[in-house]
Amino acid sequence: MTDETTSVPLLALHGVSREFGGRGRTTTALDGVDIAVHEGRSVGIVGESGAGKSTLLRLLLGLDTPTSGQVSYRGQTLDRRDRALLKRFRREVQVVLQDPRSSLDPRMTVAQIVAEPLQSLRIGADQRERSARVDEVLGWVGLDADARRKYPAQFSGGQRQRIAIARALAPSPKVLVGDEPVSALDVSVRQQIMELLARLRTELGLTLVLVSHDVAIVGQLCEETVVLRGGRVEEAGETRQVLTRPTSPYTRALLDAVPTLA
Amino acid sequence: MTALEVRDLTVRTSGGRTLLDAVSWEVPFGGRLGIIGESGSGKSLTAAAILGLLPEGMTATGQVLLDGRDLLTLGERALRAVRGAQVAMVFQEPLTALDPLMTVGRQIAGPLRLHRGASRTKARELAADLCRLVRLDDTERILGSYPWQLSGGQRQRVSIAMALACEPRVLLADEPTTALDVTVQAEILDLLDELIERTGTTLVFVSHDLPVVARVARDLVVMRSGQVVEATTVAQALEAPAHPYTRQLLAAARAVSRLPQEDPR
Repeated sequence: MTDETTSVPLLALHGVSREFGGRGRTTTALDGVDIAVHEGRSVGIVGESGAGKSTLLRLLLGLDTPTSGQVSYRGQTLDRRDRALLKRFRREVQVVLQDPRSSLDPRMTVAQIVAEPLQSLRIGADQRERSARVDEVLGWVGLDADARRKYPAQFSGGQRQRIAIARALAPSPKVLVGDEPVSALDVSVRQQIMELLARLRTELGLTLVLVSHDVAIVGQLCEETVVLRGGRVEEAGETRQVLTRPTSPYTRALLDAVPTLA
Repeated sequence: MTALEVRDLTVRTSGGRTLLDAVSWEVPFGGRLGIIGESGSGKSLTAAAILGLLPEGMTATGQVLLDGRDLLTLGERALRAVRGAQVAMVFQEPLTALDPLMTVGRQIAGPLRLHRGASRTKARELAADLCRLVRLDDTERILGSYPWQLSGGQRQRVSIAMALACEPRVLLADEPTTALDVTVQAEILDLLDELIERTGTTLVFVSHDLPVVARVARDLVVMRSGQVVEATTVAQALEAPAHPYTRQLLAAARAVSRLPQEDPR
């Protein structure tokens, strides 16, 4: 056991279940899920359709509340009434979504898009300070100052994803949550964005939570892997352990199904 | 003997922009051609042009030779007799390719009635056989279902059953497993592989995913920005890719599909 596993996790689900529907016709999307994400770690949550990935993601982002169990941040249960905790959570947990085409407002310039979370979270003393921050994060993701005045449509898929990452980084988050952040990208671009995410994580000391159907992506970016199946945790542990010596036949089948090149 | 040959296939928009630029390749009878490319490479447009299914405003020049007959010279009526009967298609998302208002049984029977003039009862029997062929074993329930009542994998099996209904010479599959879960993808690829082998159908398989293409195709055409950059075989491309772009694509595909390996002890 390392220190990390005994300390308080940064973000965690404790016995979380989420049911949908009314009397007699409930669907259980998540069923008693425990996941602990420790500060500075990278955790991948992998699963196929119907595994509960989307429901889990909404709970992790505080956009939904569990039917039973708790979601906690810094050891405190996320509760709509705890304004101070929620404020901190909204600032410190940022998300990058799958499709930058639909997640970036087409009518806003890149500078406006990246500055938007700073404004809504009231970060930065004035316009000048926010503008400097926009330049800084655009630099981190490899976009130059020219990009500021352009619109998302003027960029390729990979560059749009860089803009989305810059926006997520602007408020200095502790946790970056990725919802299939590279799945919609061409393979050569995918590799670049994966390298970017890995580098930013190390340089900025970010905690990374990656939700994906792609076990190869999780295998390359995450130190820990959680295999989700039918709303339950099928298997979890160190990525190398889970993906090279899985204990669950389902994990084995998932790995065997991945087409690879000899 | 060549089953399908594309010669200098060029597609332009009404504004004069060239989207496909003199694309040429051929597949022999019983051959398996993979067309690989990233977004904007023109791989799907090639498939659409072959069947005369280009979006409004685009025009194709060159030749698409099926048994020596140029499909680009055919009118809509003649083309309709080719589509489904001689060249059948399987698309990425079967939910949009299948008619939501028609039961699966009637959809599979459709091409048999249209192209083969099969009676209703005969078509229904053949549809049941086709269901079993694509391993949809709960045949009666499947035939009576609407597409949205089936899983993604089941729907793609239905699409394959429909495509094979009239024993086409060429099966044109455009990203047929891209929308599927990886375990379902593996099953569908195995199924396609087996059916193609057994029926001797010529396969043209379009995809952005090199490991997927490598599983089913023998010959390989690499496309970029509307042009063929390399025509080779899958084995050759994996062993010794000639074009720098093929090398780049291969390196990226290897990198992103790599799984963690056991520590050497």
